[in-house]
Amino acid sequence: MALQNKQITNVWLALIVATLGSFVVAEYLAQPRWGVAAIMIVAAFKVRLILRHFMELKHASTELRVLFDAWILVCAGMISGFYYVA
Amino acid sequence: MSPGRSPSDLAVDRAVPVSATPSIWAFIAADCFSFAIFFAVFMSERLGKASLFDESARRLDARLGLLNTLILICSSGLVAAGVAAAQKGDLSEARRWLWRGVIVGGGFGVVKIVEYSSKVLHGLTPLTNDFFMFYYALTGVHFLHYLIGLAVLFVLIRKTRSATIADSNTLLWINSGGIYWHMVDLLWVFLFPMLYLLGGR
Amino acid sequence: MVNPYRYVRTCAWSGPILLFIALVFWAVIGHNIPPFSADLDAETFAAQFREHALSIRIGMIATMVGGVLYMTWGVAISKIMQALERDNDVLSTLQRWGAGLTALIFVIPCGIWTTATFRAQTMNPEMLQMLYDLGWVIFDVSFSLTTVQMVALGVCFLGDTRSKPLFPKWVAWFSIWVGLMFFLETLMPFFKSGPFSRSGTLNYWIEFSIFFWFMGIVSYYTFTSITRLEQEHVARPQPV
Repeated sequence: MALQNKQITNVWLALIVATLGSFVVAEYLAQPRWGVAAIMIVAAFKVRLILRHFMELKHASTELRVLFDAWILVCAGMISGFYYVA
Repeated sequence: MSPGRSPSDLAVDRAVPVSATPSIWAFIAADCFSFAIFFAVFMSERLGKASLFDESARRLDARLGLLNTLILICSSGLVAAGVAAAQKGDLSEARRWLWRGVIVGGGFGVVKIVEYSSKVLHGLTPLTNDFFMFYYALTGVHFLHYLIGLAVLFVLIRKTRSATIADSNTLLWINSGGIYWHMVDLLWVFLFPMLYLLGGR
Repeated sequence: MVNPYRYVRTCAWSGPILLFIALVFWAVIGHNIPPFSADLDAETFAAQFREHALSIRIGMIATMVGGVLYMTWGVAISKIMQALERDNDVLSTLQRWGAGLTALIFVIPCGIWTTATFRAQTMNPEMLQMLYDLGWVIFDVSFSLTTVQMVALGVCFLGDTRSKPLFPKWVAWFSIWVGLMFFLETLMPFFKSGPFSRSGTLNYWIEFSIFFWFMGIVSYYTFTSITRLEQEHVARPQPV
């Protein structure tokens, strides 16, 4: 159940790349409307990485994993949803 | 003051074994639930005021927000390394990583204070408009979580010092404290785009 | 035979009884679902308040009288905590004080609201509104008195090393979380409308709901704990 340094490095790298990538898209490339969905999907992916790996949720109970996957979906979905409806 | 245990319970008088699911997850779940509510309230208040919110969001410095996101991600990684070291039984190694996590994580506070000061100096306060009310309230609540997180990290560092071996109680503390710190990170991962990036350019 | 848990169950009943009083008398009869918006101008507020003044008066009197039950409830919880404390009785003492002081927060704001109903029909609208506001500021922003109770309780029960803890760990964490969530009420005096105002989504609906859930959940486990502790006491060998 232990955290491995290699895994930590990989996850960290993925988070950094995702963060920089979506920021560049948000600020410099995409039209705001299309961009928001992309940004929130990337954010959801990042949150899931942190939960599953750093917080070791993948070793925790199934109920918790499902609960947090649902939470991620609700948050990202809600932010995107409300954005496009506004 | 006698604990008053029955014989069957006396056999239990030992440190709680580290399970794969430390009980702090109950707190994490509750806190994440409340942030989901905050997100919902913010986004629903934004309905009908989207241009005000977007125009206000553009007055935030997204680069500072980005910097803070990167800081917390790095700090999280360092703390995770500290937890990994503790799990392997190396408490002094754990302590080194935790210190790095604290130092890098401390940068978030510095950037936040710089950001708040600059906003206030430009006349943008919680009472300026609805967007800024939420901006200050949400980042403020997050900041309180962050400060508690720093305190928790200091406690963990002290535990690596006071414990001679990585016994199950120490590991429970370190695992739990790490999990809390990662939560501070992941909440910001949602807050940053929602507050800073929805407005576009 | 000495029974260290005598009267504890009786005190524990204070929790459910006060919860009932709070929901039926303070909330429903007292017209607090939700309270009158801080956004109303004095005339509109006064008109609405006067219309329900008698009902509010009854609700508030009942809550003033029932408020002491929060203190007695805290005494029962303290006895459970004392069974767990090893080094000293700091946590159970903090909990008892927190509960006792919170009892005053039931009494004093409700006393102010009762006063507002006393001459509501003839009082000037600004004064009526001021009394109402006064009650709410004290009611909401005094939260830290209750936070101390909740955090002390939570920390104590997290330290329970029984294989089957008296209070499940999630209840301990929930208690700490509720106590810390109350900090949102610091924003209440800044807003007359919106989610952070006294009748808002966050500072009323969420905050008060979690408080009532706290009372209910902790009451339940207080009763189950008393039963277990009584059984343990009886099972323990007695001095000759």
